[in-house]
Amino acid sequence: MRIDWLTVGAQWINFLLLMWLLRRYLYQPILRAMDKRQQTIAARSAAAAEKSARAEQLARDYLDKLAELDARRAELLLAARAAADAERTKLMEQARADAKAESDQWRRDLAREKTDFQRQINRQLGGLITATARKAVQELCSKPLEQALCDRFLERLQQLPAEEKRLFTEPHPGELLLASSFELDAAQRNRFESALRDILANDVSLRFETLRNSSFGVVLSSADHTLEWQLERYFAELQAELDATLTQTERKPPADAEPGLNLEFPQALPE
Amino acid sequence: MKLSSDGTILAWFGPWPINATLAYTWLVMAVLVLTSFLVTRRLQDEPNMSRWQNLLEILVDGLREQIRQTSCQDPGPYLPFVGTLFLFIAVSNLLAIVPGYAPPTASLSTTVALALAVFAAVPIYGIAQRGVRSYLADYLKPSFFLLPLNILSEVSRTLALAVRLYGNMMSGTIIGGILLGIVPLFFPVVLQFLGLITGLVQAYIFAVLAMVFIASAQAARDERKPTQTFGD
Repeated sequence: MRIDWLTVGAQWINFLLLMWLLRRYLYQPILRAMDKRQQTIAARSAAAAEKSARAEQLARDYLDKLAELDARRAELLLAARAAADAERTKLMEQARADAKAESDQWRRDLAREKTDFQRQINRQLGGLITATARKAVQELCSKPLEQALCDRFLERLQQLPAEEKRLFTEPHPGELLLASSFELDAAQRNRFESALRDILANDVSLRFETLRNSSFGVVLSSADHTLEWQLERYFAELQAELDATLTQTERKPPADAEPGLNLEFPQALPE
Repeated sequence: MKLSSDGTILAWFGPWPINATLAYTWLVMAVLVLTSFLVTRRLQDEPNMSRWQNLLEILVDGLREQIRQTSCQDPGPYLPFVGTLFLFIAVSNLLAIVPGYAPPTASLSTTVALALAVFAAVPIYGIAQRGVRSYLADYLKPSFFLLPLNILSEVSRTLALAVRLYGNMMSGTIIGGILLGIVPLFFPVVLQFLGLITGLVQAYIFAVLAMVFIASAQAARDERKPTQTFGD
């Protein structure tokens, strides 16, 4: 165990030299690099934090805008729904009104057509019945239909109770009106005048007219009382019976018919 | 068997002999400086650094952390001295694995030189931080009569520092040589690996003791300063 002081001195110098070299080539560069990296990381971290804060702010802004848009959309939707409901109600009411108007118009048209049809039927049927009756009366009674009507009318007048006969002359005696659907000849007029004087009173005056709206008939009227015979009365009864039959048929739909949808007309009228 | 490589003269530089201790010291210095130069000439500031740079950064950062824990002070001023002590001793001891290599730390001249460096560093750092008067006054505390004992304490601990390292390294080399003669197979290899661990531990002990001596000259004797606990 010997100490070589020359070597000690040299090692001392070597150590100092090594310390200087390592300080220059190891410690300082490494520490600089570490410090710089730390600064870079800190700067990046700060930038990232700033970006994160900005992103969070942006996200908050977007969320606020989204909420605002949602609220606005809900308002618009509500208003649109209310407007649509109002428009629908208005359109429905208008459609109902239009449908009701069309229905009423259709019913009016139908009633008018029905009335026109009935009048036409009555006219044609009256003419037909009158012609048939005239022919039948001519063959059976060997006298014209008008003559038969006059005879039957006077016979009916003759058979009236006394109090009813007085209704033609009392309490307002005056001129009587005899209207007929056909033109009376002079003989028929004289017959009516003499018959009425015999049946009612001697001082009765008689005026003759022609019925315009009657197919076949005779009417005797005073100021207070009227006696008539017109073919239209039978037509009215026939029409009433026909209407009653149709109404009864409509109220009894067929068993296999679909409810509320019965478009078929009865094939034959019940006897 | 030679106990020291100081006697192995390899060449002469004028009147001065170049022994094996100096030659191996220069070899260790060359390894350290060249490695540092090659790695640090292309340093990366970005995280994608080279493995060698990563190794050196871990090494330097570990040294700084160790100094900070030991001295409880900023490691900046002490890193070149204490770090160089550790690296030189560690590399010198680790290279003992190379056949034919004799670690310079197995030379008492080298360990004495390193101990003298510590012996010089303690007052230098102390005076630099506290001033000459304040530093020298510590030798008179707690009494003027303890001045010789304080000086003896400084010298003895420096001597102990040198002899501890020398003894450990020299004994490892000698024991390896003896076992190589007795049991030539396997066992010396195991002992060589054990020697590597011992070498690293000795480098750590030497550097830490040096730091403790320097720190104690600055803080421990200054009662006005609060003493931080180890590991703060």
